[in-house]
Amino acid sequence: MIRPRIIATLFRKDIVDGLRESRVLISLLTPIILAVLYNTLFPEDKVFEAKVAYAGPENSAIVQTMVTRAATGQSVHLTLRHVGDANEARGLVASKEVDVAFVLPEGVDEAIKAGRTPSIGLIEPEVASSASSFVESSLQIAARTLADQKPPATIVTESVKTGGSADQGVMGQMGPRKYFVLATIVMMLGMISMLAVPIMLTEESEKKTLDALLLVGSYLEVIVSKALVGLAYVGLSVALMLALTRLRPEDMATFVAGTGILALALIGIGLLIGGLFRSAQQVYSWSSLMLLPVIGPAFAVGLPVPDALDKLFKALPTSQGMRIMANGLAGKPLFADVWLSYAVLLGWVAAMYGLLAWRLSRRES
Amino acid sequence: MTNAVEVNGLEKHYGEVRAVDGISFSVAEGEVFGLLGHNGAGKTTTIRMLTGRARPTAGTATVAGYDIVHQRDRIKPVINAVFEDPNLYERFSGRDNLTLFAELYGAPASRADELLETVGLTAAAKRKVKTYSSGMKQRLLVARALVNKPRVLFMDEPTRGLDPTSARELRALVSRLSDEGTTIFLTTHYMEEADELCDRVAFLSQGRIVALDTPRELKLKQGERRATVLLQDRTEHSLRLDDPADAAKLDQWMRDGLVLTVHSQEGTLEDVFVALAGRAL
Repeated sequence: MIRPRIIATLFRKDIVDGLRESRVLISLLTPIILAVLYNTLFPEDKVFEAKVAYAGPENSAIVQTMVTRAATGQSVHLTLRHVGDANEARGLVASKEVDVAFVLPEGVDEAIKAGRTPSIGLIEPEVASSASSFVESSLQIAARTLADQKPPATIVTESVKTGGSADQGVMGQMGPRKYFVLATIVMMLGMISMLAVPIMLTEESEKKTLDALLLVGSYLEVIVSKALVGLAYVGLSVALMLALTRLRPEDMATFVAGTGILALALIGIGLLIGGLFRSAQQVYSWSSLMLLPVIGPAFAVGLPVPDALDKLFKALPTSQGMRIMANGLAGKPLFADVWLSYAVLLGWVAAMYGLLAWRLSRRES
Repeated sequence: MTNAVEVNGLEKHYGEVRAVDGISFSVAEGEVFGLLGHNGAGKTTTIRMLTGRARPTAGTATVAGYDIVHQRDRIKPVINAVFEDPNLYERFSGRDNLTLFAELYGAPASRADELLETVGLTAAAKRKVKTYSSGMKQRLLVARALVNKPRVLFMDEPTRGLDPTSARELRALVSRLSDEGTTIFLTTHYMEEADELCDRVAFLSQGRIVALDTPRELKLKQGERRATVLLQDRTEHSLRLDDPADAAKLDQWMRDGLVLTVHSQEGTLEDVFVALAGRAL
């Protein structure tokens, strides 16, 4: 029988008491400090801002081409501003309100299509910026396209399989900052679940406060309250980490689902570990050895690893959790076969809580 | 009157070891019952079974009228225990410890302050338990065990490690609880304590009860009756009153007018225990 009043009381007690226990506090703070460090070491992915003014036909195909190029390239954030004439554009460049400006003559699209060579003016500051280069190359491409000119050569790209994970390019796609912060979030899940939670459980047993609790509650209620405390710590810490690193998951539902199921699976492992040790200090001492196979795969996801290791990692919860969370953070399927990730994680959840139930029944008898 | 505890043929085996080997006894409502025995005699295992923390291998028992196996959830609200170890939340204050258990038992929070006053810890209520002395911790343990006003209170070595003053205060508290109608099930190593507090005691040896009666009856039945005689020549002699030779010797000294004083001594519980269990506690 599970009584919500008992669980709520134990939950409140553990939330406060856990933060007063230095070993639990260390397991919460270490990953957060590490994430902030990674966030500082790896600067924001390079996206430069281009403020551009232009005069001339507002809906020219040249302008549309530039907008499309900026939108698909993901490396420039383009802000376009239409002005009345070249003088106004020149004034904006001089006052540094825009990075660069261009002037399109009337009927420029038709002129290019007709094979004439109209003049397009580019107004840039004395020290040209990346925005100038972007605008200049965009104008060239747009003009060629309008003139129906074929490119001087066709570049054909071929992908060659080099062995290892097919997801090797993920760090490249995510950028090192997001990648390492995400891996640190998974590390934090591991530390809360497999260090903080078992320390709290083992301490109850070691100091025999569990005997007093079992006079009024059941072992199941104690276990459930510890699992809830673990989930609460995970929720609070992940939110804090995202806020400190200013990362916002593009697909929040997928990110939360991945985090939640991974935390549940790891807390199951942590509760089992909690029952194996006699003292909280033993848990703490052995933690680095236990955490290595849990946290290691999270940092290896998306990195080139041998096939055999890749297959092994795919059977581990942190590896699969990292995949789901990466998809959630990026808002696009960086990793394929996400159903497999969910299946592996849910398998771990079922296995761990099945084992816990079995151990609970043995304890009760 | 209903018995607070009723035990019939209770056994607990750990593999080949019979920690408790078919014990039977009953404890009346409001009685102070002592279970005495060596370390490993089965006292704590018996308490663990009666408080629902271990399942018996065989036999039956009821506490407050409820079966210890099938009605564990009904027993929990009406019992409590003082453990041998000071198992308190040391990072919490004394009051927070009591408030936590008051909440767990569904008792009002004001119960914590009442109990702190009962055990004389009001002044230290806000201090963290890790700063408490052994005596203060023991008093807090007793206060925690009273938070749900239990009908049956189990006390496992409640005065172990306490200084004489704290031990005396605790014994006075136990007597007061008993007077108020709480049934007390006590285990202790201290024979004088059992003699002073318990209405009846049971001696447990190797998982079996080897004697069960009031301390007075046990001492009369099993104890060695002695007399210490001081003679005119200032020599002191210890005589066994049950020994005909010693009795004749005393009779002769009396006739000869050699006796200055005679102090009779009944056996102690310790003597009874040694006689029954083969060695002292």
